[in-house]
Order: sequence, then C-alpha cells, then structure tokens
Amino acid sequence: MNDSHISEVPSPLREAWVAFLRNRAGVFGLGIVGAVILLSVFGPLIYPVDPFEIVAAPLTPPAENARVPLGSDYLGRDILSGIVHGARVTLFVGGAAAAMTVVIGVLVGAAAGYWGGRTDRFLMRMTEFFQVLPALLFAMALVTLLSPSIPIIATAIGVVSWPAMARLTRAEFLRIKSQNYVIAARSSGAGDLYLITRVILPNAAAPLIVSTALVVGMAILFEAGLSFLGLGDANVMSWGLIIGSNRDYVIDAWWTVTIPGLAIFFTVLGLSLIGDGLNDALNPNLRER
Amino acid sequence: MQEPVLKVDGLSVAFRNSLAILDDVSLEVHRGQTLGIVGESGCGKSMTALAIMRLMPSAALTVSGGAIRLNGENLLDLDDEAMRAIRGSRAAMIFQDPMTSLNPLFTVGNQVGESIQKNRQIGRAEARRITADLLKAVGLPDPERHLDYYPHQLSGGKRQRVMIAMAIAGHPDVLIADEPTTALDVTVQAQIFQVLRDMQAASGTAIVLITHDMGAISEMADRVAVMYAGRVVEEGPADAILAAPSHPYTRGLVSCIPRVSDAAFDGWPELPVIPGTVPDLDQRGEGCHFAPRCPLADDRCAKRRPPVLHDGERRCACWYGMAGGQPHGRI
Repeated sequence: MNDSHISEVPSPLREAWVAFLRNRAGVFGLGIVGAVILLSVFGPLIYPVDPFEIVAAPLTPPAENARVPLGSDYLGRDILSGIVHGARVTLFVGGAAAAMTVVIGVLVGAAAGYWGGRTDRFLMRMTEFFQVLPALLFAMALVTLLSPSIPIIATAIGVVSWPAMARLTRAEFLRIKSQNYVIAARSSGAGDLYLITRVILPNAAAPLIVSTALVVGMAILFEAGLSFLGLGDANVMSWGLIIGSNRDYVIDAWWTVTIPGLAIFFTVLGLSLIGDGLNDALNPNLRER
Repeated sequence: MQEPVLKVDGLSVAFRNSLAILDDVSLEVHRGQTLGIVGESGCGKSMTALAIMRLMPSAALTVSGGAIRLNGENLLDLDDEAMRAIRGSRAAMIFQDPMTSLNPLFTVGNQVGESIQKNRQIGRAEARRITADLLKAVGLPDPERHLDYYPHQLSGGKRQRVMIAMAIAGHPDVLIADEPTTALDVTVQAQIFQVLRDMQAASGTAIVLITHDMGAISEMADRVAVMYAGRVVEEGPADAILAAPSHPYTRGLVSCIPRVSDAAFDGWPELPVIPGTVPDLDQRGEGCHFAPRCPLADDRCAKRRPPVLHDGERRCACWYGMAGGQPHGRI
C-alpha cells in the first residue's frame, strides 16, 4: 500500500456510518424510528389532548368528526391522542427491555465464552433454562403475579429475551478469543478485564449492535401482545393498550386496532431496517461498493 | 559462568495428561544472545514458546514436569496474576502472522500506548511520545504519522515492526520471536532481523528465535536447538552445528539448504528431502522419534530412548554417538 493516498484515516465507526448512509432501506428505517422518537418527545406538547378523556361518540370512524381525526375508540377516546401519547411508553418498554436484554445477555455470554470450562457449562445450562421457558406464558405469569406496570412488563420481556443475546455473545467470544491479536495482547501482559472490554468486546460489537436493534422491535411487539391479552398497564396509554382495549370491536370498528397496529408495524419495520442496514455497514464483507 | 537469563529445564507438556507434546525439553539463553529453535512443523517449537509464556492454547494442555527459570525464578511456581505481570515486562513475544496480530479496531498509537500504560504509571500523552520513540527505534519512517494508522493500513513488514515495538516497550529480559518473518517476503525478513539485532545490541535482550529456516539460524543465532517431535535432538553453538551436524535429523535439515555454489549451468541439482513426516502424537513410541525416517536407524533406535551425549558445548540425542559431521560409530 502506498503511504501517500492513505493520509485520510477514517475511524472504523465513521467508516461504518458512511456505509450505513449509503443503504437506502436503512436510512428509511432510521427516518421512521427518528420520527417516532420525535413524536414521543414533542408529540404530547403539540397535541395535548388527554388520551384517556372521552371527547366524542364511541367508535366514531376516522375523518368524520374533526375533534377525532383518526376516529374514537369504544369509549369515545381520541385514537390520534392515543398514538401520540402512547409512543413514549411503547418506545420506553422497547428500549428498557432491550437494555436489560443486552446487559444480562452480554455479561453472561462474555463470561461463558471467555472463561469457558465449568463457568461456561454452568452459565449455558442457566441460559438454556430461560431459553426453553415459553416466553409469552412466563411473561404473563410474571406480570400477573407482580403487577401489570410498565417497568414490570419491560423486566418480563427482558427476562425472556436475554438468552439469545447471551448465546450470540458467547459465540463471538469463542471465535475471537483464539484470534492472534488476543493472544498477542495476552502475551504483552493484558489482564482478563482488559481483554474482555478492550480487545474482544469491541470486535464482537457488530452483531451485538445489530441484534439489539432487532430486540427493541421484538420487545415492542411483545408489549403489544401482552396488552392485547389484557395484561398491559391500563393506566398508561400505549399502542398495545389501544389494540387490547378495543379487541371486542375489531369487526365493527377496524380503525381502533388497525391504526395503532400500523404504528407498531412501521416502528418495528423501521427498527428491522436499521438492524439490516447496520449489519451491512458493520460487516465489511457485506458492504456494497 | 554467567547465569542464563532463561533456563528451561526438562520441560514436559502433555495433552490430557497422557500424550507428551514436549518431552524433557532443556534450553538456555544468555543475556545479549540469541537462541534459535529449529525443526519442522509439529515439532513443538511454538508449544515451547507458549509454554514459556504460560499461554497454553487449551486447558487440555498441561505442564507435566520441569522448570522454566527466568533470572532464576521458576515461572511455573507463579500464580496467574504474577505471571501476567511478567508478560510484556520481563518476557515478551512476537508472532508469526503480523497481519492478524494487531487489534483491527484501534490505531497503532492507541494499542502500543496502552500496552505501555499497563506496565507504567504514565499519562496518555507521555505514552504516545514513548510509542513514537519506539516506532522510530524499530525503523518506521515518520513515526508520528504512523501513530494514527489502523493496522489494515500498514504492510506486513510495518505491522511486524509495530509488534516488535509493542514487545520491547517493557524492556523485556527475553524476547520470544515465533517465526517472525515467515509471513513476510525475503527483503523484509532481512530488515526485521536487522531491527531485532539493533534492539538486542542496544538493550542486551536475550532472543529466542523460532524458525524452520536454517538460513535465519545462521544469520541470527548464537546457539541453536534442533527439535524433533517434542524433544531437543541436538543443541550447541550455531556455527559449529551448521558446519558439522551430528544428529541425522540435523544433517537432513542442513543438507536441505540450497547453496549458491551448487548452481550449475543447467539449473539446480535436486535438493535432498527427508522422507516421511513428523509422527502424530499417538504414533510416538518409546524409542527415538526420528527412527522411522532415519537412514541409520536399527531395532535399538526404534525401541529405546537414545542417550543424550555431551561433547564440549554440544549435546546430541542419538544412539550413533557424536561424531561432529563424521560418519557415526555405534556406541
């Protein structure tokens, strides 16, 4: 390689960002998710109608009454307000559940993959135990036993979804720990903590970041599923709650479930597209030139 | 006589406590000297290096006997934390493949700097300055600029220089170089050897050079240990052994070196080869491991372990005595 034309040195992160911006689907997904985040932050200020207030006749279809542009639910509450105010909770549940998944999953997976042997066997049996639990039933039981509050719901989702993250992290650690640069770092006196956090984890980060984006989407779907079954927090507006509380009226008032359903659909789609885009951007082998 | 910096005494390493990978390996290297370890692939050269650094690639590999003394201190007695403190500061290692031996995600300055900070309480800026000096010492032009390069932006030779810079950052007493130039082309090999020699002249670091290249031995090594199938079969001053090998295996290796003087107008004469390959771990019997490939071998060689014969500074493990290149007589 000639020295003269490599004077510009982009960092790996910057390079990945540039590659991500070249992926149209990924940028589209980022646009959707960005819009949802903006909606959750500023929406309630711009559209301050209380989502629990009865403002119109029950089951008013969309575009009939200017007070409820997207129609009303079975109690006459504004669906648009539900979408705007519910975005925050929906994203919070998704984000909190994903954060919990990543923290538990990466800690367990890193320890199992790095130390191997008995530690690995113990942690992997524990992971398998959580993995074979029927996720929905377990989350339902947890929410029913404790209380159907948003933190409990996020915790329940986190508890059932970390095993996949742990296995992924372990696999990456197993692959990377025998790489030459890890052995070289060890031979220059690196300790366990340094090797895990500064050498192996950064090199394992790409698939973990991708998988995190997907976990957020999955957690949002999970919250909607729990709410649909009536196990959501009835005191906090979320998209899942709109669908859940109107489920008896699906036949007569399609908009009550279709509109929040579309909101969930597009948010999860956006997250998946981001995950896909990141996958291509962070993996140089898949990067299109 | 001065105490050796590194003295490996009867080191044995076993796989699952049964198959011997290293069998009674004894080596020593003095300050400012270079010991070459030579042999084919699978002879235990790299395993010896990893065992000295206590970096066994698998938990199934355990040291089953012997001692590794660094300045008289047996490394095998140290706990993990004490051993970690030795790596990089008193014993360092460079590896065969510089292309994959650097963390791809961090700049050169970052990596070398952090390895310096592990051993010394200094700030980032100071580490960066020392790193630049080290890069200069290993002959990288414009070291300031190379600090901000990522490994993929450097050629193999430059990466190996960076590896050497990282290894000598802690001023080690002994530097183990495991085939440091195998992945590089010949002109770069000469440069890397020059860097190692300059470093040695400046610091007195003892070098253990692992290679399968007899040319590298003659160029670099003061002493040479020839390994075969986990045992040291011959050891002594490099020039004496290259000039007059005793062990049939060493003779085979030396006769495989092409010499310019052998070239004829119609090309090169066919190089001799040693028939066969190094036996697998579970195919190594009681006797001399080289017996199946040895032109001199008889029943006794196959059945009984050869004695280690000493002759001045040389030693050789063979039933056919030491004859310094002369035809062997039976003992």
